[in-house]
Amino acid sequence: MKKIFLTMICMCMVLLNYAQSKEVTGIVTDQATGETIPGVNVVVKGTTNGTVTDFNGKYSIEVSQSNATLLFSFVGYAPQEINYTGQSTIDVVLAVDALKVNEVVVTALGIKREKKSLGYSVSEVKGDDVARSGDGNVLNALSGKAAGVVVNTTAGSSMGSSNIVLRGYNTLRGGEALIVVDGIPYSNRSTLDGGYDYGSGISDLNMDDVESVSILKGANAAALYGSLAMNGVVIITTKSGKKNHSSVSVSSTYTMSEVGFMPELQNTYGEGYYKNIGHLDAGDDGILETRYGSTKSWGPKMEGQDVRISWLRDKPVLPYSKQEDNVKDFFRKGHTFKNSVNITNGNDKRSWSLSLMSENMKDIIRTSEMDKYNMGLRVKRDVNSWFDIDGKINFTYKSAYNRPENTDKRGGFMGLMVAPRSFRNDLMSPAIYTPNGKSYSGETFQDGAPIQWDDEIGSWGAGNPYWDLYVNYNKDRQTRVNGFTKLNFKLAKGLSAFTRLGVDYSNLEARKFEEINSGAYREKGGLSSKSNNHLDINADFLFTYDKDMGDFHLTANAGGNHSYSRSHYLWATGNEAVLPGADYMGNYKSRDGGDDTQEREKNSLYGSFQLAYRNYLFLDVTGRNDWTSTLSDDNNSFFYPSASIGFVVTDAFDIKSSVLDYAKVRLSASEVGNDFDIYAIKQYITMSADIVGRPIVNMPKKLSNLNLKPEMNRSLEFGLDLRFLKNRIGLDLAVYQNNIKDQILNTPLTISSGYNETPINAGEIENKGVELSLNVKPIRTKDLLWDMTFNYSKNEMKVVSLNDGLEEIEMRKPRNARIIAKVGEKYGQIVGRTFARNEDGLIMLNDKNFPIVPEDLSVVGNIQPDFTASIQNTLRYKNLTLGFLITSSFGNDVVTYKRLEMNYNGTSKESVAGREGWMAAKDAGEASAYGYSSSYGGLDYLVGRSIREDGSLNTASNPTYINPARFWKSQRSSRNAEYAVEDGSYVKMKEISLNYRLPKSFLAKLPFESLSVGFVARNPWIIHKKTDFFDPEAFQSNTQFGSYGVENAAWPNRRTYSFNVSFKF
Amino acid sequence: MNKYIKYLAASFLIVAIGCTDKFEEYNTPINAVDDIPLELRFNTLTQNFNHAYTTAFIVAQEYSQLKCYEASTVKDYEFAGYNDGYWNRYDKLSLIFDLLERTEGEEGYMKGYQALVNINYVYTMLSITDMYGDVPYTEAGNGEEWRPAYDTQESIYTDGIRILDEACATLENVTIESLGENDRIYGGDASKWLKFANTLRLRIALRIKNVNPTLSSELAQKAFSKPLIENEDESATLPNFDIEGARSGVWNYYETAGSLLPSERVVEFMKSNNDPRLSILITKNVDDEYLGYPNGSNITRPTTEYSDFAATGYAPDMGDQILMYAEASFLKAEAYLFGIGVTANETSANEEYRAGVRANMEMLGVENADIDTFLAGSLGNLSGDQENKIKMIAEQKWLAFFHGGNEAYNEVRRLGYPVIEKRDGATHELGETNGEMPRRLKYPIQERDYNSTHYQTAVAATDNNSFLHKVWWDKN
Repeated sequence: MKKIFLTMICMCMVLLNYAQSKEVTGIVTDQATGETIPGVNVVVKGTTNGTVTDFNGKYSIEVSQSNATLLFSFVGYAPQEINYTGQSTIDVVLAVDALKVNEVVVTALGIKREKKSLGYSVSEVKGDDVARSGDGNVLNALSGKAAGVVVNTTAGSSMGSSNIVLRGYNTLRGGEALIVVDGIPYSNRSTLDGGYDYGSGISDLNMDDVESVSILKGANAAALYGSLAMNGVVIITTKSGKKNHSSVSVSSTYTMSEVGFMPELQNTYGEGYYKNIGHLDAGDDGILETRYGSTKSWGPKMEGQDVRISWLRDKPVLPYSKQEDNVKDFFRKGHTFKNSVNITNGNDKRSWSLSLMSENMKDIIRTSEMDKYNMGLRVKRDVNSWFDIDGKINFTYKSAYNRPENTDKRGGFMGLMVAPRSFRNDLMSPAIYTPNGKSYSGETFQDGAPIQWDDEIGSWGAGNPYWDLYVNYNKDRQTRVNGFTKLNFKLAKGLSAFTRLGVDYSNLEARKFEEINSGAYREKGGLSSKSNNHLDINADFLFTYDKDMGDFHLTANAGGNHSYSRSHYLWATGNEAVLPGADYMGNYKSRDGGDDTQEREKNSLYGSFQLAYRNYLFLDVTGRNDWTSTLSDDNNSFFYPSASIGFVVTDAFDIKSSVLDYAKVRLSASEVGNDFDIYAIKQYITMSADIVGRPIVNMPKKLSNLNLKPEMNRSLEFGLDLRFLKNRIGLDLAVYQNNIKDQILNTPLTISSGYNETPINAGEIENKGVELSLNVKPIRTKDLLWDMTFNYSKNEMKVVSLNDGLEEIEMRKPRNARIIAKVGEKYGQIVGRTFARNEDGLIMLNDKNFPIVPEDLSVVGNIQPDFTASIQNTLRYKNLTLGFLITSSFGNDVVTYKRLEMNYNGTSKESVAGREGWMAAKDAGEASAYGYSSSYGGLDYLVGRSIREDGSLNTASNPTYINPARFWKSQRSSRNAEYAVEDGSYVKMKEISLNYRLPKSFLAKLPFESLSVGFVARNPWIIHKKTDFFDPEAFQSNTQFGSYGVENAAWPNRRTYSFNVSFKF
Repeated sequence: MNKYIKYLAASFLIVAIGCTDKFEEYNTPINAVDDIPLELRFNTLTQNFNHAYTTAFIVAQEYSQLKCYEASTVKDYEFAGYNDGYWNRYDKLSLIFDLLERTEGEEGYMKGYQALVNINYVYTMLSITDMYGDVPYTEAGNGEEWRPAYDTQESIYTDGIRILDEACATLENVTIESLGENDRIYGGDASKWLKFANTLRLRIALRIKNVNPTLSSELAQKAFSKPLIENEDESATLPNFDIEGARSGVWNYYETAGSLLPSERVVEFMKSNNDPRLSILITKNVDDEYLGYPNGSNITRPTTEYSDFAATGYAPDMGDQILMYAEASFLKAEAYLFGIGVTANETSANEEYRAGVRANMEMLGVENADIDTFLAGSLGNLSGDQENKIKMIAEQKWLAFFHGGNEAYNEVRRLGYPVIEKRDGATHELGETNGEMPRRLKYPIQERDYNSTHYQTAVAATDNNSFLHKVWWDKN
């Protein structure tokens, strides 16, 4: 960061240098890091004689006086005076200024401002911290590094999407933060297709290009960016070339990945039918047999006995033995190689920077892989004294093969989770059956179809994931080109302007092939192919006027923005293959296709006005008007203002305390308006044709609403920034409240109204929260530094009111539960059916000793966490740096599918409970084989917690045994939400990193300017969790708002170990 | 300052030219059509007489034990998603209201078109209420009321009969212009629509015979006074091709729903009666036997051990059977048997019964000689007391609905034949009805969630949304 300043300083500083004196040279280094500091002012005190240090921290100055004082100063460091008594070399060590807090941060529209002048909260993350995280995605690297920041990733892999949410979701349709790269909004759209997550735009950004990240959390901070920034902004500044400097840096990283979390499986009971728990029937020859439809794990104990798999073609007799690793063996170790090169060059007129990056990833899921290439060029040129040009172009190409399917559907992880515990992997994978020479070949049913072992999962059926791995495939290619040109004008003293044009074009081509016999719903095979083009154009201009007026300093900005986006989507599907293995459209008996185009536009004018008084009182006022294409003429223009005050108490009252270095209070209020999706204000009839060309008139299913108004986010924020004990303790506190009025969303309707949904201004949503960031430096010596940051945030989203007489709005409906927004309650209540309980809280059993699950719905949880917290530690000893990051979340609930399905299938550890008791009762003839009607059976789940119909307590000494398979099945099918919801709290060691920078003395003999080696472990340890079924930090099948709070049988999260070598010369 | 004007002006132009006045255009999807010709709207309307060949089809055929969905939990009536099938037919109302508006106040053939719309309206609404009982009607489907109130089944029937009567009167007086290819059911033969509507009147008349005998007989009388469907050519079938290929929904359904099998009951019924339709409708299993799958059974054996649907019984272009000549004959047989709307006449009843059986067999392609043999056998003529006669009519009608949709289930409930016995818990899934055949579908979850006040009232009126609550006309 500090190196940026040099560019600024070089440009704005005129330094005079008198000759005919003695030369003094030296190096200026940072006390804490030992690194050299470029751009340090070196002045002979009391004169205008001065210079600055170069990029290697070196300076040389002519001193004419024999007795003088040299003053070394640099932003953010305590100035140092050295008496000159004729030395030829003076090396100086500067310490970070404990008393002055002059950090410069990038704010809206790319304007750099001193942090102390801001009336709102900004968090900064340095490029190095981002790059060192060992994750290939900038957003993922931000997780836990600032208060109030939640990074959503998928359980999929680095192939999947990620997004960032600041201070909780603001609206009932989500609200991820806007990402701005070098001043231009950077699309992070994610593309989903069924369970396939094609990633999101941010992964196109080359991590090694990132110089710094500013996080503007509140709407206040972002008022100038308009609607897109209603949920905060992440401003990413990339590296650019510097004047009069050239360098080459190279970074190579190898990452090994492995399964980070596995649900708890039982290894006691094998394949068997749920209606015949613990038993297998013998065939005619006396050998025990598993039967058709028995592919659940309700069989007897696995003791290596001979069992015939009678539903397989060859009816093999195999030892019935536990297969503890049959899931584990499905996976492999993943390997990723990433290399990047950055070359910069600059003279006093121009500079350029070229970045090249390649990443080749092989995932832990066999056959899943992705290659990524990125190339970027940034050029800056001064044309003359009043005009310069800044331009950038970036190209990214990604190709992926076999992205994992993140749903409970066939081919997903659920297929493995419900595979019988006695299932050998070679039943699923080795060469017996070769459909027309394809590489897959597992076992087959008697009729020759490949085995799919459960067709009762969800509405589709989980099956053999090896089939999807080796026979079916999906592949996609994505290209993205983006860049901008920016023309800067210096018009007059204090008056400048720029105009900028940003273009961002991306294309996704995806193809999905399903072979004949791909389960019950794709028996005849299918192929889909789609192409998705997206174009964003942003054109903007800004005038800036800057003036000093005695104690006052005024800055005014006025500008405008035109943004346009267009998506075009083209798709084709083929159904029913003629030939197996022929994956082209012509091979399909019927083909279907279509296209769609969506366009939208928004134009804006805005202005801002900042007034500083004596550099301790700062007032900011902004205003913006948007015109959007998505609302009706009467409602499509809307204005919103903001105002903020920053007051540095310590400067204002000239407080000089040895304890309190710095105190600032901030206060801000703002409004941000927002529009809605396209096609909300009008409804249309469309035409299509059936396969034989007959017309079909499609009546709209979505009821339009011409009266939609823009939604308005009103927010208030109060903040406090305190530094103590020479900056050893820093505390940043923010308290905020956001109210979204006239929240727009699609509300579902019952079809008896004639429509499925309608967009409405639904009411008011409130977010209240507290963020605390505490930085402590317990040790700060020349060689040893310990820096610790503790982040805490608490956000509560509440539904204040809903319009149109609505009491509640359903946000989504995962199985067994509904997630709703109800008036007066916290957003995200999970409601559903629950066990009936008596007044003592005991589960009530019916006459068959099964728990009663009445139809009424009650609240069983909430998807919002009570609070999240993280601790980031950096320990630096000389050139060795150790960092670790602990992240946590408490009090959020998750609707889990895995628990439902694994218990129902008898594969989970939890499903073991009660089997022995039930089997004993059954063997004693005291239980009927099938029915609910036995008074025996068993389940630990209910023992001690339930009461029988006759009023007696179900205790361990007098247990009621019920059929455990029946129990899980009935809870699943009765849609008992209580049983489907688990506590998603966790504490996790997210990141451990170790970095060694070779000492300068060592490098002196080598051609390197710097060289470092690093190691990072990500997701090494889940310290605390409540669930056995999923990784509570990464369970979502995608990052879209709709999957928030729902664990949909996603693949396990990855644990990674990265090794990095970086050098610069 | 002049020197930078040209740069500045040029670059501002970039921003300025971007702004458009195309907001209206951006709000119009490229695949929206402004003026869809009326006849194309009618094309879709006639298509909307279709059956729902998805979960709804399973329900009706599973409960009436013509078919059996082996792999699914539907057999123990636990799978709530199946309750949506018929409810989703409400989505047909938006086109109906659109066309009613477009034909409103018109005279001449347009008035006749409006009658077609009204016939579809009544047909659609009754197919919904038959499944659930009281359902939204007066406030349903127009988008104005997001949470429509429920109407009683009786009032829906009463109003439907009024509308249907008016439609019939219109069609008697107005000659509508042929819709040609856009009439998917009658291919432009407009005269058949009156017969269709009139036969629908007879179906409705008999449906309510136990709950409103006066209206029933009045309606039947009207129906008998006008032409009814009198031959196979007048049967209403809909070649309802789906996107999967040039195949009808019903064909596609048999082909793709892997676990759907002929029910043990229907196989045994045909076997025991030496019915020539057996070999046409059903295949033999691996053991070369006709073996139907017992509904709701606990057994799990490979489906290859059971009979499947025989390709001879259905062709890819076989249409949905909306209202067939066979059904018209059985309706007449019942009317003659009990003297509903006509003077009771045992001979006519028997003739119509035989005509119904023959019609169904001919439609399926049974050889004439085999038909004659069958009609010469014990089931060839109505025999025994009234109860036995109606049993014979009901069972033959049930079998004739083998490829049909929900009517099989409606008539099993109304007539009580074939008798669907309570299941034996030792060998069958009992489900929440404790083994009884459900008498209705449950109101779907979407009503609970998005129309809760009215839903709660309706739930209270149906023994807590019970499967066993009988709809208004079900007095059996």
